[in-house]
Amino acid sequence: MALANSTWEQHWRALLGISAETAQGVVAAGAILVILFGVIIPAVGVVSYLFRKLGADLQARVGPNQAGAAGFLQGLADLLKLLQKQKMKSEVTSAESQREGSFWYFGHTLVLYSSLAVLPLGSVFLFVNTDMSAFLPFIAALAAVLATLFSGVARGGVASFLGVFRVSAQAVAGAVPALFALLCAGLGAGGFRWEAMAKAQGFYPWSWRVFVNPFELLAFLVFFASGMVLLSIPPFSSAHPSSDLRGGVLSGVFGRRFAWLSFSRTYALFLWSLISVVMFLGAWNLPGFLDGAPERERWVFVLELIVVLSKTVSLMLLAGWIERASPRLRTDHVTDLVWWVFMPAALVALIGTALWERLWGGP
Amino acid sequence: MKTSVLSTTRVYFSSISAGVRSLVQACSSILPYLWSATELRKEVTEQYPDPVSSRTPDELPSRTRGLLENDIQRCTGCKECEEVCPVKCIKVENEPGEDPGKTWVAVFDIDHASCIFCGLCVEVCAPQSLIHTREYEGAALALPQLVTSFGRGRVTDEQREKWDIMRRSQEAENL
Repeated sequence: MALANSTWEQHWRALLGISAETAQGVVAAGAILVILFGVIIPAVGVVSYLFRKLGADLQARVGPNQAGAAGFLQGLADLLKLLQKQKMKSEVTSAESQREGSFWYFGHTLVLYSSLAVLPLGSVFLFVNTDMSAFLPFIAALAAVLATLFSGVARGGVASFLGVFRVSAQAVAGAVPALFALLCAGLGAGGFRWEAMAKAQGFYPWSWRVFVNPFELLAFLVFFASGMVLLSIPPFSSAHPSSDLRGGVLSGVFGRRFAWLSFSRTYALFLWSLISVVMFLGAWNLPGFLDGAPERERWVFVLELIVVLSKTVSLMLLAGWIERASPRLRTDHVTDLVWWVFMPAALVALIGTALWERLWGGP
Repeated sequence: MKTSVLSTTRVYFSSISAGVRSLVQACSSILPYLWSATELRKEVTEQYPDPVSSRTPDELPSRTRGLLENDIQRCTGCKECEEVCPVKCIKVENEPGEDPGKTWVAVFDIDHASCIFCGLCVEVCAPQSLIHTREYEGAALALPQLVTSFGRGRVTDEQREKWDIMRRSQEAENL
Protein backbone atom coordinates (compact mmCIF):
# COMPACT_ATOMS: atom_id res chain seq x y z
CA MET A 1 0.00 0.00 0.00
CA ALA A 2 1.46 3.33 -1.03
CA LEU A 3 1.68 5.92 1.72
CA ALA A 4 -0.62 8.84 1.14
CA ASN A 5 1.89 11.50 2.04
CA SER A 6 4.55 11.38 -0.64
CA THR A 7 6.58 14.44 0.39
CA TRP A 8 9.12 12.20 2.10
CA GLU A 9 9.30 10.11 -1.06
CA GLN A 10 10.30 13.06 -3.26
CA HIS A 11 12.97 14.13 -0.80
CA TRP A 12 14.42 10.66 -0.46
CA ARG A 13 14.36 9.95 -4.20
CA ALA A 14 16.43 13.11 -4.70
CA LEU A 15 18.72 12.30 -1.78
CA LEU A 16 19.41 8.69 -2.76
CA GLY A 17 19.39 9.35 -6.53
CA ILE A 18 16.56 6.87 -7.13
CA SER A 19 14.55 7.33 -10.32
CA ALA A 20 10.78 7.90 -10.35
CA GLU A 21 10.13 4.42 -11.83
CA THR A 22 11.53 2.60 -8.81
CA ALA A 23 8.93 1.25 -6.40
CA GLN A 24 8.05 3.24 -3.29
CA GLY A 25 9.02 0.29 -1.08
CA VAL A 26 12.60 0.38 -2.37
CA VAL A 27 12.86 4.09 -1.54
CA ALA A 28 11.47 3.45 1.96
CA ALA A 29 13.88 0.52 2.54
CA GLY A 30 16.83 2.61 1.33
CA ALA A 31 15.81 5.49 3.56
CA ILE A 32 15.44 3.27 6.63
CA LEU A 33 18.89 1.76 5.99
CA VAL A 34 20.39 5.25 5.70
CA ILE A 35 18.69 6.30 8.95
CA LEU A 36 19.80 3.12 10.75
CA PHE A 37 23.42 2.97 9.59
CA GLY A 38 24.01 6.66 8.93
CA VAL A 39 22.26 8.21 11.92
CA ILE A 40 21.13 5.80 14.64
CA ILE A 41 24.10 3.44 14.97
CA PRO A 42 26.77 6.22 14.84
CA ALA A 43 24.73 8.43 17.21
CA VAL A 44 24.11 5.62 19.72
CA GLY A 45 27.77 4.55 19.44
CA VAL A 46 29.06 8.06 20.14
CA VAL A 47 26.64 8.53 23.04
CA SER A 48 27.63 5.16 24.54
CA TYR A 49 31.30 6.18 24.37
CA LEU A 50 30.60 9.60 25.93
CA PHE A 51 28.52 7.92 28.66
CA ARG A 52 31.43 5.67 29.58
CA LYS A 53 34.22 8.20 29.24
CA LEU A 54 32.50 11.18 30.89
CA GLY A 55 30.88 8.85 33.43
CA ALA A 56 34.33 7.56 34.36
CA ASP A 57 35.63 11.13 34.70
CA LEU A 58 32.72 12.02 36.97
CA GLN A 59 33.50 9.03 39.18
CA ALA A 60 37.30 9.65 39.23
CA ARG A 61 38.02 6.61 37.11
CA VAL A 62 40.11 6.22 33.95
CA GLY A 63 37.40 4.75 31.72
CA PRO A 64 38.01 3.19 28.30
CA ASN A 65 41.59 3.90 27.19
CA GLN A 66 42.90 0.92 25.28
CA ALA A 67 40.96 0.40 22.04
CA GLY A 68 41.64 3.27 19.63
CA ALA A 69 42.54 6.84 20.53
CA ALA A 70 41.31 7.58 24.08
CA GLY A 71 39.41 4.30 23.98
CA PHE A 72 37.04 5.49 21.28
CA LEU A 73 36.77 2.04 19.72
CA GLN A 74 36.01 0.29 23.03
CA GLY A 75 32.37 -0.26 22.03
CA LEU A 76 33.49 -2.06 18.88
CA ALA A 77 35.96 -4.17 20.88
CA ASP A 78 33.20 -5.08 23.35
CA LEU A 79 30.86 -5.99 20.52
CA LEU A 80 33.44 -8.32 18.96
CA LYS A 81 34.02 -9.94 22.35
CA LEU A 82 30.30 -10.41 23.00
CA LEU A 83 29.73 -11.91 19.56
CA GLN A 84 32.35 -14.58 20.30
CA LYS A 85 31.05 -15.56 23.71
CA GLN A 86 30.10 -19.16 24.02
CA LYS A 87 26.96 -20.57 25.54
CA MET A 88 27.05 -21.37 29.21
CA LYS A 89 25.26 -24.41 30.56
CA SER A 90 22.29 -23.23 32.57
CA GLU A 91 21.29 -25.32 35.54
CA VAL A 92 18.07 -23.42 36.10
CA THR A 93 16.41 -23.18 32.71
CA SER A 94 15.90 -25.70 29.96
CA ALA A 95 17.11 -25.19 26.39
CA GLU A 96 13.49 -24.72 25.22
CA SER A 97 12.75 -21.97 27.71
CA GLN A 98 16.05 -20.27 26.82
CA ARG A 99 15.10 -20.38 23.15
CA GLU A 100 11.67 -18.98 23.98
CA GLY A 101 13.30 -16.24 26.05
CA SER A 102 15.58 -15.39 23.14
CA PHE A 103 12.59 -15.19 20.85
CA TRP A 104 10.97 -12.64 23.13
CA TYR A 105 14.16 -10.63 23.41
CA PHE A 106 14.30 -10.60 19.64
CA GLY A 107 10.67 -9.43 19.60
CA HIS A 108 11.45 -6.87 22.26
CA THR A 109 14.11 -5.14 20.23
CA LEU A 110 12.44 -5.64 16.88
CA VAL A 111 9.38 -3.77 18.08
CA LEU A 112 11.61 -1.04 19.40
CA TYR A 113 13.46 -0.79 16.09
CA SER A 114 10.15 -0.62 14.24
CA SER A 115 9.97 2.90 15.63
CA LEU A 116 12.76 3.79 13.15
CA ALA A 117 10.04 4.47 10.60
CA VAL A 118 8.38 7.08 12.81
CA LEU A 119 11.47 8.84 14.12
CA PRO A 120 11.09 12.61 13.84
CA LEU A 121 14.62 13.46 12.68
CA GLY A 122 13.65 16.51 10.64
CA SER A 123 11.09 17.72 8.12
CA VAL A 124 12.77 15.77 5.32
CA PHE A 125 13.38 12.64 7.36
CA LEU A 126 9.71 12.35 8.35
CA PHE A 127 8.17 9.16 7.06
CA VAL A 128 4.92 8.62 8.85
CA ASN A 129 3.34 11.93 9.66
CA THR A 130 -0.10 11.02 10.89
CA ASP A 131 -2.43 12.59 13.43
CA MET A 132 -1.17 10.13 16.04
CA SER A 133 2.55 10.12 15.19
CA ALA A 134 3.55 11.16 18.71
CA PHE A 135 1.92 8.01 20.14
CA LEU A 136 3.78 5.56 17.90
CA PRO A 137 7.21 5.53 19.63
CA PHE A 138 5.32 5.50 22.93
CA ILE A 139 3.43 2.38 21.89
CA ALA A 140 6.67 0.80 20.59
CA ALA A 141 8.30 1.38 24.00
CA LEU A 142 5.29 -0.20 25.75
CA ALA A 143 5.33 -3.18 23.40
CA ALA A 144 9.03 -3.59 24.07
CA VAL A 145 8.37 -3.75 27.80
CA LEU A 146 5.63 -6.32 27.18
CA ALA A 147 8.09 -8.51 25.28
CA THR A 148 10.54 -8.23 28.19
CA LEU A 149 7.80 -9.53 30.47
CA PHE A 150 7.11 -12.51 28.23
CA SER A 151 10.80 -13.30 28.01
CA GLY A 152 11.03 -13.29 31.81
CA VAL A 153 8.03 -15.62 32.07
CA ALA A 154 9.50 -17.88 29.40
CA ARG A 155 12.67 -18.34 31.45
CA GLY A 156 10.68 -20.00 34.22
CA GLY A 157 11.58 -20.07 37.89
CA VAL A 158 10.56 -17.96 40.87
CA ALA A 159 13.34 -15.40 40.45
CA SER A 160 12.28 -14.80 36.88
CA PHE A 161 8.64 -14.28 37.83
CA LEU A 162 9.63 -11.84 40.56
CA GLY A 163 11.70 -9.96 37.99
CA VAL A 164 8.67 -9.84 35.71
CA PHE A 165 6.52 -8.36 38.48
CA ARG A 166 9.12 -5.70 39.16
CA VAL A 167 9.48 -4.74 35.50
CA SER A 168 5.74 -4.69 34.82
CA ALA A 169 4.88 -2.67 37.93
CA GLN A 170 7.48 -0.11 36.99
CA ALA A 171 6.49 0.02 33.32
CA VAL A 172 2.82 0.61 34.11
CA ALA A 173 3.74 3.26 36.66
CA GLY A 174 5.95 5.09 34.15
CA ALA A 175 3.55 4.84 31.22
CA VAL A 176 0.56 6.62 32.77
CA PRO A 177 2.12 10.00 33.68
CA ALA A 178 4.13 9.91 30.44
CA LEU A 179 0.87 9.59 28.54
CA PHE A 180 -0.64 12.57 30.37
CA ALA A 181 2.49 14.61 29.65
CA LEU A 182 2.23 13.64 26.01
CA LEU A 183 -1.35 14.92 25.99
CA CYS A 184 -0.01 18.25 27.34
CA ALA A 185 2.37 18.49 24.38
CA GLY A 186 -0.49 17.75 22.00
CA LEU A 187 -2.70 20.37 23.64
CA GLY A 188 0.05 22.98 23.43
CA ALA A 189 0.95 22.22 19.82
CA GLY A 190 -2.64 21.76 18.64
CA GLY A 191 -2.17 18.17 17.48
CA PHE A 192 -0.03 15.06 17.63
CA ARG A 193 1.59 15.29 14.19
CA TRP A 194 5.35 15.73 14.43
CA GLU A 195 5.04 18.55 11.90
CA ALA A 196 2.45 20.36 14.04
CA MET A 197 4.62 19.98 17.13
CA ALA A 198 7.65 21.38 15.33
CA LYS A 199 5.68 24.26 13.85
CA ALA A 200 4.37 25.26 17.28
CA GLN A 201 7.97 26.08 18.26
CA GLY A 202 10.98 27.94 16.92
CA PHE A 203 14.77 27.74 16.79
CA TYR A 204 15.47 29.99 19.74
CA PRO A 205 14.95 28.66 23.29
CA TRP A 206 12.35 31.29 24.19
CA SER A 207 10.08 29.85 21.51
CA TRP A 208 10.35 26.27 22.80
CA ARG A 209 7.23 24.84 24.41
CA VAL A 210 8.97 24.39 27.76
CA PHE A 211 9.59 28.12 28.02
CA VAL A 212 6.37 29.32 26.40
CA ASN A 213 4.15 27.65 28.94
CA PRO A 214 5.31 26.84 32.50
CA PHE A 215 2.95 23.88 32.71
CA GLU A 216 4.64 22.36 29.69
CA LEU A 217 7.97 22.66 31.49
CA LEU A 218 6.42 20.55 34.22
CA ALA A 219 5.01 18.19 31.56
CA PHE A 220 8.47 17.88 29.97
CA LEU A 221 10.10 16.98 33.29
CA VAL A 222 7.39 14.42 34.00
CA PHE A 223 7.55 13.01 30.46
CA PHE A 224 11.31 12.56 30.45
CA ALA A 225 11.54 11.14 33.98
CA SER A 226 8.54 8.82 33.45
CA GLY A 227 10.11 7.60 30.21
CA MET A 228 13.23 6.68 32.16
CA VAL A 229 11.03 4.76 34.58
CA LEU A 230 9.09 3.06 31.77
CA LEU A 231 12.25 1.99 29.96
CA SER A 232 14.18 1.20 33.17
CA ILE A 233 16.92 3.73 32.48
CA PRO A 234 19.25 4.39 35.47
CA PRO A 235 18.75 5.55 38.22
CA PHE A 236 15.30 3.98 37.80
CA SER A 237 16.70 0.71 36.54
CA SER A 238 16.66 -1.51 39.59
CA ALA A 239 13.90 -3.66 38.09
CA HIS A 240 16.30 -4.82 35.37
CA PRO A 241 19.88 -4.98 36.68
CA SER A 242 19.15 -6.23 40.18
CA SER A 243 18.03 -9.41 38.51
CA ASP A 244 21.66 -9.96 37.53
CA LEU A 245 22.37 -10.60 41.17
CA ARG A 246 19.20 -12.29 42.33
CA GLY A 247 18.01 -13.91 39.11
CA GLY A 248 15.16 -12.53 37.03
CA VAL A 249 14.33 -11.27 33.59
CA LEU A 250 17.95 -10.73 32.58
CA SER A 251 19.44 -13.88 34.06
CA GLY A 252 21.09 -15.90 31.33
CA VAL A 253 21.44 -12.94 28.96
CA PHE A 254 25.03 -12.84 27.72
CA GLY A 255 27.09 -12.69 24.55
CA ARG A 256 25.16 -11.81 21.40
CA ARG A 257 21.87 -11.45 23.28
CA PHE A 258 23.47 -9.05 25.72
CA ALA A 259 24.97 -6.97 22.88
CA TRP A 260 21.57 -6.87 21.17
CA LEU A 261 19.79 -5.90 24.38
CA SER A 262 22.35 -3.29 25.47
CA PHE A 263 22.18 -1.54 22.12
CA SER A 264 18.39 -1.61 22.18
CA ARG A 265 18.28 -0.02 25.64
CA THR A 266 20.58 2.81 24.59
CA TYR A 267 18.44 3.19 21.50
CA ALA A 268 15.36 3.33 23.73
CA LEU A 269 16.86 6.25 25.64
CA PHE A 270 17.79 7.88 22.33
CA LEU A 271 14.23 7.43 21.11
CA TRP A 272 12.72 8.89 24.26
CA SER A 273 15.13 11.85 24.28
CA LEU A 274 14.43 12.52 20.61
CA ILE A 275 10.67 12.64 21.00
CA SER A 276 11.07 14.81 24.12
CA VAL A 277 13.16 17.24 22.07
CA VAL A 278 10.60 17.33 19.28
CA MET A 279 7.66 17.82 21.63
CA PHE A 280 9.15 20.29 24.08
CA LEU A 281 12.61 21.54 23.11
CA GLY A 282 12.23 23.23 19.75
CA ALA A 283 12.31 20.12 17.51
CA TRP A 284 14.46 20.55 14.39
CA ASN A 285 13.59 24.20 13.79
CA LEU A 286 16.24 26.37 12.14
CA PRO A 287 16.68 30.14 12.54
CA GLY A 288 14.04 32.12 10.64
CA PHE A 289 16.51 33.82 8.30
CA LEU A 290 17.29 30.47 6.66
CA ASP A 291 13.72 30.07 5.43
CA GLY A 292 14.29 32.20 2.38
CA ALA A 293 17.85 31.03 1.68
CA PRO A 294 18.54 29.93 -1.90
CA GLU A 295 18.87 26.18 -2.51
CA ARG A 296 17.57 25.58 0.99
CA GLU A 297 16.37 22.11 0.16
CA ARG A 298 19.85 20.81 -0.57
CA TRP A 299 21.31 21.08 2.89
CA VAL A 300 18.33 21.76 5.10
CA PHE A 301 18.03 18.12 6.10
CA VAL A 302 21.65 18.09 7.29
CA LEU A 303 21.16 21.23 9.39
CA GLU A 304 17.88 19.98 10.83
CA LEU A 305 19.52 16.68 11.66
CA ILE A 306 22.44 18.41 13.38
CA VAL A 307 20.07 20.60 15.42
CA VAL A 308 17.78 17.79 16.55
CA LEU A 309 20.61 15.32 17.22
CA SER A 310 22.71 17.79 19.22
CA LYS A 311 19.73 18.52 21.46
CA THR A 312 18.96 14.81 21.78
CA VAL A 313 22.55 13.89 22.68
CA SER A 314 22.68 16.74 25.22
CA LEU A 315 19.51 15.44 26.85
CA MET A 316 20.92 11.91 26.95
CA LEU A 317 24.12 13.20 28.55
CA LEU A 318 22.02 15.01 31.13
CA ALA A 319 20.35 11.68 31.92
CA GLY A 320 23.82 10.11 32.16
CA TRP A 321 24.96 12.84 34.54
CA ILE A 322 21.99 12.21 36.83
CA GLU A 323 22.66 8.48 36.60
CA ARG A 324 26.27 8.88 37.76
CA ALA A 325 25.32 11.22 40.59
CA SER A 326 22.42 9.31 42.09
CA PRO A 327 22.17 5.91 43.69
CA ARG A 328 19.87 3.45 41.97
CA LEU A 329 16.41 3.66 43.49
CA ARG A 330 14.68 0.55 44.78
CA THR A 331 11.80 -0.61 42.55
CA ASP A 332 9.08 0.08 45.11
CA HIS A 333 10.57 3.52 45.78
CA VAL A 334 10.46 4.21 42.04
CA THR A 335 6.80 3.23 41.75
CA ASP A 336 5.96 5.26 44.87
CA LEU A 337 7.74 8.27 43.39
CA VAL A 338 5.80 7.93 40.16
CA TRP A 339 2.34 7.45 41.66
CA TRP A 340 2.77 10.03 44.44
CA VAL A 341 4.76 12.72 42.64
CA PHE A 342 4.90 12.32 38.85
CA MET A 343 1.23 11.42 38.46
CA PRO A 344 -0.20 14.43 40.34
CA ALA A 345 2.35 16.64 38.57
CA ALA A 346 1.22 15.29 35.19
CA LEU A 347 -2.43 16.00 36.04
CA VAL A 348 -1.58 19.53 37.19
CA ALA A 349 0.39 20.04 33.97
CA LEU A 350 -2.51 18.78 31.85
CA ILE A 351 -5.13 20.97 33.52
CA GLY A 352 -2.72 23.93 33.60
CA THR A 353 -1.84 23.58 29.92
CA ALA A 354 -5.52 23.36 28.97
CA LEU A 355 -6.32 26.52 30.95
CA TRP A 356 -3.25 28.32 29.66
CA GLU A 357 -4.11 27.53 26.06
CA ARG A 358 -7.72 28.57 26.64
CA LEU A 359 -6.75 31.89 28.23
CA TRP A 360 -3.52 32.89 26.48
CA GLY A 361 -3.10 30.39 23.67
CA GLY A 362 -3.51 31.16 19.99
CA PRO A 363 -6.74 30.81 18.03
CA MET B 1 -1.85 10.20 65.69
CA LYS B 2 -4.07 12.42 63.53
CA THR B 3 -2.44 14.87 61.16
CA SER B 4 -4.12 17.77 59.47
CA VAL B 5 -4.44 18.10 55.69
CA LEU B 6 -2.27 21.19 55.83
CA SER B 7 0.60 19.50 57.65
CA THR B 8 0.38 16.46 55.35
CA THR B 9 0.56 18.78 52.34
CA ARG B 10 3.51 20.60 53.86
CA VAL B 11 5.33 17.32 54.46
CA TYR B 12 4.54 16.21 50.89
CA PHE B 13 5.98 19.34 49.28
CA SER B 14 8.93 19.58 51.64
CA SER B 15 9.91 15.98 50.86
CA ILE B 16 9.72 16.71 47.12
CA SER B 17 11.81 19.82 47.66
CA ALA B 18 14.35 17.83 49.70
CA GLY B 19 14.55 15.23 46.93
CA VAL B 20 15.15 17.85 44.24
CA ARG B 21 17.76 19.63 46.40
CA SER B 22 19.52 16.34 47.05
CA LEU B 23 19.60 15.55 43.32
CA VAL B 24 20.97 19.00 42.44
CA GLN B 25 23.61 18.75 45.19
CA ALA B 26 24.64 15.28 44.03
CA CYS B 27 24.93 16.41 40.40
CA SER B 28 26.90 19.54 41.27
CA SER B 29 29.22 17.73 43.68
CA ILE B 30 30.55 15.36 41.02
CA LEU B 31 30.96 18.01 38.33
CA PRO B 32 34.47 19.18 39.40
CA TYR B 33 35.72 15.63 38.85
CA LEU B 34 35.05 16.11 35.15
CA TRP B 35 38.02 18.46 34.93
CA SER B 36 40.08 16.82 37.71
CA ALA B 37 39.87 20.24 39.34
CA THR B 38 42.01 19.59 42.42
CA GLU B 39 44.56 17.01 43.52
CA LEU B 40 41.85 15.26 45.53
CA ARG B 41 39.68 14.91 42.49
CA LYS B 42 42.21 13.24 40.22
CA GLU B 43 41.56 9.74 38.96
CA VAL B 44 42.04 7.23 41.73
CA THR B 45 41.99 4.01 39.77
CA GLU B 46 45.00 2.67 37.94
CA GLN B 47 45.14 1.55 34.39
CA TYR B 48 44.52 -2.13 33.87
CA PRO B 49 47.92 -3.68 34.51
CA ASP B 50 49.09 -4.86 31.14
CA PRO B 51 52.59 -4.87 29.65
CA VAL B 52 51.66 -2.28 27.01
CA SER B 53 50.66 0.59 29.22
CA SER B 54 51.37 -0.33 32.77
CA ARG B 55 52.87 -2.96 35.05
CA THR B 56 54.09 -6.46 34.40
CA PRO B 57 53.24 -9.20 36.94
CA ASP B 58 56.71 -8.87 38.49
CA GLU B 59 56.01 -5.25 39.37
CA LEU B 60 52.77 -6.01 41.17
CA PRO B 61 52.64 -6.11 44.99
CA SER B 62 53.80 -9.36 46.55
CA ARG B 63 50.37 -10.12 48.04
CA THR B 64 48.56 -9.74 44.70
CA ARG B 65 45.95 -12.47 44.31
CA GLY B 66 46.61 -13.64 40.79
CA LEU B 67 46.03 -17.05 39.23
CA LEU B 68 46.40 -19.97 41.66
CA GLU B 69 49.27 -22.43 41.53
CA ASN B 70 49.74 -25.64 43.49
CA ASP B 71 53.09 -27.28 44.15
CA ILE B 72 51.86 -30.84 43.91
CA GLN B 73 55.09 -32.24 45.41
CA ARG B 74 54.27 -30.50 48.72
CA CYS B 75 50.49 -30.92 48.54
CA THR B 76 49.14 -33.53 50.96
CA GLY B 77 45.70 -33.77 49.38
CA CYS B 78 44.02 -32.85 52.68
CA LYS B 79 41.07 -31.23 50.80
CA GLU B 80 40.91 -28.26 53.20
CA CYS B 81 41.02 -25.91 50.19
CA GLU B 82 38.20 -27.80 48.47
CA GLU B 83 36.01 -27.57 51.57
CA VAL B 84 36.65 -23.90 52.30
CA CYS B 85 36.17 -22.71 48.71
CA PRO B 86 32.90 -20.67 48.66
CA VAL B 87 32.29 -21.26 44.95
CA LYS B 88 33.47 -24.88 44.87
CA CYS B 89 35.94 -24.32 42.07
CA ILE B 90 38.58 -26.71 43.45
CA LYS B 91 38.29 -30.43 42.84
CA VAL B 92 40.63 -32.85 44.64
CA GLU B 93 40.69 -36.63 44.31
CA ASN B 94 43.14 -38.80 46.21
CA GLU B 95 44.30 -42.36 45.92
CA PRO B 96 46.43 -44.45 48.32
CA GLY B 97 50.06 -43.70 47.60
CA GLU B 98 53.27 -45.67 47.69
CA ASP B 99 54.01 -44.61 51.27
CA PRO B 100 51.36 -45.56 53.91
CA GLY B 101 51.48 -42.08 55.41
CA LYS B 102 50.98 -40.27 52.12
CA THR B 103 48.23 -39.96 49.56
CA TRP B 104 48.60 -39.74 45.82
CA VAL B 105 46.84 -36.53 44.66
CA ALA B 106 45.46 -37.85 41.42
CA VAL B 107 43.25 -34.88 40.55
CA PHE B 108 43.75 -31.26 41.63
CA ASP B 109 41.75 -29.02 39.30
CA ILE B 110 41.09 -25.32 39.80
CA ASP B 111 38.40 -23.72 37.64
CA HIS B 112 39.66 -20.15 37.26
CA ALA B 113 36.42 -19.21 35.46
CA SER B 114 34.53 -19.75 38.73
CA CYS B 115 37.28 -18.65 41.15
CA ILE B 116 36.58 -15.38 42.92
CA PHE B 117 40.19 -14.98 44.11
CA CYS B 118 39.13 -14.67 47.74
CA GLY B 119 42.34 -16.30 48.95
CA LEU B 120 40.66 -18.59 51.51
CA CYS B 121 42.19 -21.72 50.00
CA VAL B 122 45.68 -20.24 50.32
CA GLU B 123 44.98 -19.29 53.94
CA VAL B 124 44.01 -22.82 54.98
CA CYS B 125 46.75 -24.64 53.06
CA ALA B 126 48.87 -26.23 55.83
CA PRO B 127 51.87 -27.30 53.72
CA GLN B 128 51.68 -23.91 51.91
CA SER B 129 51.72 -25.61 48.55
CA LEU B 130 48.83 -23.56 47.18
CA ILE B 131 49.74 -19.96 46.42
CA HIS B 132 48.44 -16.98 44.49
CA THR B 133 50.84 -16.03 41.72
CA ARG B 134 50.94 -12.49 40.37
CA GLU B 135 49.81 -13.66 36.94
CA TYR B 136 46.53 -12.10 35.90
CA GLU B 137 46.19 -12.77 32.19
CA GLY B 138 43.75 -15.65 32.13
CA ALA B 139 41.92 -14.97 28.86
CA ALA B 140 41.02 -18.10 26.91
CA LEU B 141 38.84 -18.92 23.95
CA ALA B 142 36.78 -21.57 25.73
CA LEU B 143 35.70 -22.07 29.34
CA PRO B 144 37.32 -25.53 29.77
CA GLN B 145 40.69 -23.93 29.02
CA LEU B 146 40.39 -21.97 32.27
CA VAL B 147 40.54 -25.16 34.32
CA THR B 148 44.12 -25.64 35.49
CA SER B 149 45.12 -29.19 36.45
CA PHE B 150 47.90 -29.80 38.95
CA GLY B 151 47.06 -33.45 39.76
CA ARG B 152 49.54 -36.28 39.32
CA GLY B 153 47.11 -38.28 37.21
CA ARG B 154 45.23 -41.51 37.85
CA VAL B 155 47.19 -44.47 39.06
CA THR B 156 47.19 -47.45 36.70
CA ASP B 157 45.89 -50.78 37.97
CA GLU B 158 49.36 -52.28 37.63
CA GLN B 159 50.91 -49.48 39.68
CA ARG B 160 48.17 -49.74 42.31
CA GLU B 161 48.81 -53.45 42.82
CA LYS B 162 52.54 -52.84 43.06
CA TRP B 163 52.03 -50.13 45.70
CA ASP B 164 49.59 -52.31 47.64
CA ILE B 165 52.25 -55.00 47.90
CA MET B 166 54.88 -52.44 48.96
CA ARG B 167 52.60 -50.95 51.61
CA ARG B 168 51.69 -54.34 53.01
CA SER B 169 55.33 -55.36 53.24
CA GLN B 170 56.20 -52.06 54.95
CA GLU B 171 53.35 -52.54 57.44
CA ALA B 172 54.51 -56.09 58.13
CA GLU B 173 58.05 -54.83 58.78
CA ASN B 174 56.73 -52.20 61.17
CA LEU B 175 54.79 -54.78 63.12
